Amino acid sequence: MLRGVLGKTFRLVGYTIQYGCIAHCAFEYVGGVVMCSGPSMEPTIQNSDIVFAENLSRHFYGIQRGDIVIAKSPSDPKSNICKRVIGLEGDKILTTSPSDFFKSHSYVPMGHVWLEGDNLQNSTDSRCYGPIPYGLIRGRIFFKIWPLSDFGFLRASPNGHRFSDD
Amino acid sequence: MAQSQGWVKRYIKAFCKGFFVAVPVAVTFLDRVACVARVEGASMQPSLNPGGSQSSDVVLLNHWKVRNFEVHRGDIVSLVLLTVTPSTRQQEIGGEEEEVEKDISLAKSPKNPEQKIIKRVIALEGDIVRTIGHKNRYVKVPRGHIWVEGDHHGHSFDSNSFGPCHICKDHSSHFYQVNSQRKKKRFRKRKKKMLLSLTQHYLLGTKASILVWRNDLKFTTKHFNCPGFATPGCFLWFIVVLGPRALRMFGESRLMSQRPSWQLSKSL
Repeated sequence: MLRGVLGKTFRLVGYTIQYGCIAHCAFEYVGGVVMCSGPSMEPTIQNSDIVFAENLSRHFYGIQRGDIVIAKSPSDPKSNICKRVIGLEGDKILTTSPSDFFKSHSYVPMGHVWLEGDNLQNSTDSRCYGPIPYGLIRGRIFFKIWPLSDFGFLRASPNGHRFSDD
Repeated sequence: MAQSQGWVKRYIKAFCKGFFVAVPVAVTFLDRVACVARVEGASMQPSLNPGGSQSSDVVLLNHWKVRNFEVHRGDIVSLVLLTVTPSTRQQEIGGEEEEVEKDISLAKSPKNPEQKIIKRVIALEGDIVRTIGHKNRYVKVPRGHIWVEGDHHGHSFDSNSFGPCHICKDHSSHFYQVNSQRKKKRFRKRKKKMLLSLTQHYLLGTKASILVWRNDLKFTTKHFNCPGFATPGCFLWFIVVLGPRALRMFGESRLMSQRPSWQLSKSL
């Protein structure tokens, strides 16, 4: 009787470990479902939206300008940030506001990306802490699944003027 | 004929079953618990690779120990750098790293995209470091960063070249406490000699960067969530060849987790 129970327990633990490892591999290397909070990506992603994120493009260096990515926060490694890629390495970025008379540019260093939120007035992003290393990027968001009224692929950036094309 | 077909089918079934058990478990283990690496280069002499090119040390990278991002000053950690800025390559000496080609777009993968380097943590966030060869003489380590240096000053590509390092770079830095793993005979013989040379190196204070002022604020615990890019072959090697030895080494190799003596002395 006891042996039967023990056997069943071990089998259960074994299955739990196996499925836990499969889940870990899937979330780290393939992708998963993410809930975003905060106002910095409005109107593209509102507070408490649920989106799909995939990690394959990070591994194959497929992140491009205009992608919305999830990255580790550079000041707090425990939390994640969700921003749009404005510039890759080598790009020229306008660091002052476009309405300023004296514009200043800076170049994104090698191995780094420049992130900005869509809600420029209410977003702490690379304008605040500088370009972040490419390795901090964890995945790319490409599909929104909640709220259902906004179901589908994500819109392009409302701040198209931020993308420099030189 | 039917029997051999049935045998093939059963074999494929068993293979798939085993595959979906073994690969995720192995990958998860190598990402979260521990993996094995070989140390090359001279930037951590005399602690690691004292023999130079004759013998490369094999080390156990302990992921589990730093799952909360709790690194201490004096720990030896392993980092992965993605690319190298051209201005900092001047500091490379001694063949520690291969030259990384400068690529403008990340669509073409650089020559050696994930270069792993092993260095010692000198300062944590908030500390002020006196640098060697950096553009600023004194650097305050910003929040979320650490300062790493190789033990072999001058022959090391470290924070003196690229500045403070992010404490977590997914695929860019993996922070593990390294437990040095050597052949049992040589380890015992060399342990005493190594302790002596470590002490001398740091107490003398020559060419060592010393903390000017340490920030003693309490740090909040951070959770480590950075995977590595693991290979199942590594796992098999670890289990079959080094498993029993590694278990014994856990007890013997506390040497590497001790803080160096310079940290204990308050002198500047």
